[in-house]
Amino acid sequence: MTAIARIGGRGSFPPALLAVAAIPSLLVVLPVAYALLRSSEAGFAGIVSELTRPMTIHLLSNTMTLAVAVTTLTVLIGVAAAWCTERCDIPWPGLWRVIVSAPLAVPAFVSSYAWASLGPAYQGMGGAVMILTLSCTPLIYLPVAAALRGIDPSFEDVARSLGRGRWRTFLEVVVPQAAPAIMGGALLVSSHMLAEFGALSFLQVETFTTAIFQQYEVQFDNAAAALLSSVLMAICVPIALAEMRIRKGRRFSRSGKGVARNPDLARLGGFRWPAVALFGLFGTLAIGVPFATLFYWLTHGTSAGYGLERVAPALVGSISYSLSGGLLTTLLAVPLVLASMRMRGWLVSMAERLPYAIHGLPGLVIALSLVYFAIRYAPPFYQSPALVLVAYVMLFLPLAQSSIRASAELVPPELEDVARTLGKSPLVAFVEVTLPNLLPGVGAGLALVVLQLMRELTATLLLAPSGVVTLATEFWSYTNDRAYAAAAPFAAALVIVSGVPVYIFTLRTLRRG
Amino acid sequence: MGRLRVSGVTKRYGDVEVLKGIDFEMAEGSIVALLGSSGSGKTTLLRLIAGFADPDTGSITIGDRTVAGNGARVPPEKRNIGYVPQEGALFPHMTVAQNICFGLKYGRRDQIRLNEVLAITGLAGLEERYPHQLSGGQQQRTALARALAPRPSLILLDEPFNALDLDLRRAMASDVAEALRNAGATAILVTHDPHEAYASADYVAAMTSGLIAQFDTPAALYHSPVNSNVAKLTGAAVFLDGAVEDGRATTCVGWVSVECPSGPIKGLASVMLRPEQLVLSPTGAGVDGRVQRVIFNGDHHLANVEVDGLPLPVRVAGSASIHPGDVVKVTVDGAGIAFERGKRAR
Repeated sequence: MTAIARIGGRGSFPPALLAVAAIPSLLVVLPVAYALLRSSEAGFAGIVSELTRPMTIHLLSNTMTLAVAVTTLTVLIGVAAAWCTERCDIPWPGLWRVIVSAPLAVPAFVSSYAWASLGPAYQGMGGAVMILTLSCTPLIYLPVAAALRGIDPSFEDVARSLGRGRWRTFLEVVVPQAAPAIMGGALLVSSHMLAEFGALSFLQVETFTTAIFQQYEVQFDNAAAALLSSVLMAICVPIALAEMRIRKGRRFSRSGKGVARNPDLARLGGFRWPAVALFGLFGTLAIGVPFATLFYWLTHGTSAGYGLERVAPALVGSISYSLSGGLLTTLLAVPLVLASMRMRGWLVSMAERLPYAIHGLPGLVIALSLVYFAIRYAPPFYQSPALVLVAYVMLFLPLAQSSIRASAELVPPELEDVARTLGKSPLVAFVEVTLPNLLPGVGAGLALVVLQLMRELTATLLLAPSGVVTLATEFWSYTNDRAYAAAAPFAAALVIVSGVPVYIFTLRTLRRG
Repeated sequence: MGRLRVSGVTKRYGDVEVLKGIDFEMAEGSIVALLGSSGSGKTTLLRLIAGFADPDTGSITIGDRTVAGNGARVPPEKRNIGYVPQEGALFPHMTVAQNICFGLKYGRRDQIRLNEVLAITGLAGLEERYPHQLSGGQQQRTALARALAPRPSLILLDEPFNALDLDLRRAMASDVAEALRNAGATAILVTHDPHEAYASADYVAAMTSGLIAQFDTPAALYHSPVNSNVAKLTGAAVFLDGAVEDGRATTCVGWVSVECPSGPIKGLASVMLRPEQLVLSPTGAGVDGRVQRVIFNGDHHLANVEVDGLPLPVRVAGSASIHPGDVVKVTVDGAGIAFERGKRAR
């Protein structure tokens, strides 16, 4: 009966907020419309000839090689590392936990810059696979380690009592429970690889994103760029959808209330010290080399000190753009989350999920679609800060949504029901009861979006009005000119204002979750 | 304090007709329990009375004012009702005192009224605590105090004890009833637990599939249910086949005098007895039975006694000595209720 009562019973939602909730859904249509419209302008013959060019096949093979190789390697390393730190008697597990998750603090394009500056040996596909694997491993390690910690050891006790050995218990009981975390992490890594642009352009690897950018530089309203974007989207969207499904179904089961006891640790025996050596190697490659190189370029090099006077304006640009982007994103996310929790129906749940699918699209494609529509239908918006903010909303809405949702789930609609029976109008009930309890989630969402926006490169690069500089765009242009020393202060600033806070934030969230 | 009249109320969600025509009336200062299993429509009815949803047809009147139906549509905040949902729904960012004063005029802290309701609900001394610092029972009492504070004309409680442990539930049900009576409140309590309903209410409305099947005092509902569904809803029941003639039925446990709530019955019928009406004795009158299984329950044993191939659950005093395999005599204490056989629930 409760279920039935809720279908119609929770429909009280201010119509004004509902209108705001509709805005993000409209934005989400743009990239798809762009790809379809602009591609169709090329004509059927044009489409076929563009798609069958050897260049397109080359890009497809490069993109897929990169995605598959990095995903496979991160899964192997991430799961092994999680098993070692959570379930084995490795010495100093706390230290290794910090080290394996530390690459989060260094944006992928900063570590690529560091390696690329060491010489051409680290450029090309091999170098890209190694560097991106190192920097994406935390995306697998963190959720899997959390899953291993969350699994109730009593399942393993039961399996052991039913005659399964330690190894079979791990394979048949532990791994299946950690599988959603592994799958979710793998899909996330794949979609990062498909969207990665800055790192790949430093490492001289040609993929869809770098090719799209080249086409855009040749001519910024370009049919070839649109066609390549369509192909890229066709690969990205299924991955984003699959990730959404897994994220929704993810839950760690515990058979009863109360605190789970700690699981018994597996003995590594003779492998203890080799394992320690491997963790040490990972730490050296993933953070040691980037930080050492960065430090070197800060103090040496012919272009050292060249861009220093631009660090302050870039910092101001980064902060003002990411702060306004973060505020707008959070403001739009609140009604969207509330509407999806208070109302039922496919329309509302679509509206809430669509941004997640768009989140999986490369920033480059989103930016190109905004350029296309601005030039054709809203010329005043082209080269305006507003367009940058729209791109930011599209890229990072889900981040704000998840964070607000976590708070909103703790505010049952009954609270507003009660407030209304106590004489408050719907609006007053919302302001006095729901909003105060939503604020922690709103604040966390805002902080996370702002920090991620600080390191956003592609959308800013394509959309920011000329003259506007941010840390990421300045860093990119100096690195592209091989002015490694001039780029170093921007890289250091990025690590300090975005990398380290994101790292701390993520660890805290995971520890709580 | 007013009274409530619900007439001809129906409500449909999609294809499901949740309420099929509800009529009842309650007097000032009384407590009515809506007793029903899940899916019976009891929570929907409560939400219609509160104003969180509107009835499709019919009307609801609180005091002299029609709040729903006949063209009226009064929003919940204008109905002057108190509402205690499942799990209490205390505002987590407010103290006990702030929660209780939330519904007072302008949300002002009215110390006199606050102290009154704190005393009624036994919460004195806890007013500066936050909800997470309270036990489950204290949280429920705070939710009740918050609903009582603005002196509503009607209080609605939606399975308010669900989140509590079984021991605490029964105790809370009578505590809450006492607090409501001390406050002179008129209240409706939704529950699926007959004992909770009996412990708190003056009248019980037994709801089955969207209708109020019976509206009666707890004792009348227990002893004279109008059909077998109500009989099962209101407590443990034993159903025996029997041939009815002149107010007596021939069953496997012998002659049983019966009442026929749904009109005179002649011929085959289903005879309902409460388990405590079956009495065992080692010798003497009655039909023969063989004890199959005995479960010790502290103050009583629950024995399964086979009579004529049929297993009957029988309650025996906890002090009695009874063992599987014992041969006993079974007699019936008091009258049974005869229902037509077709209406017997599976």
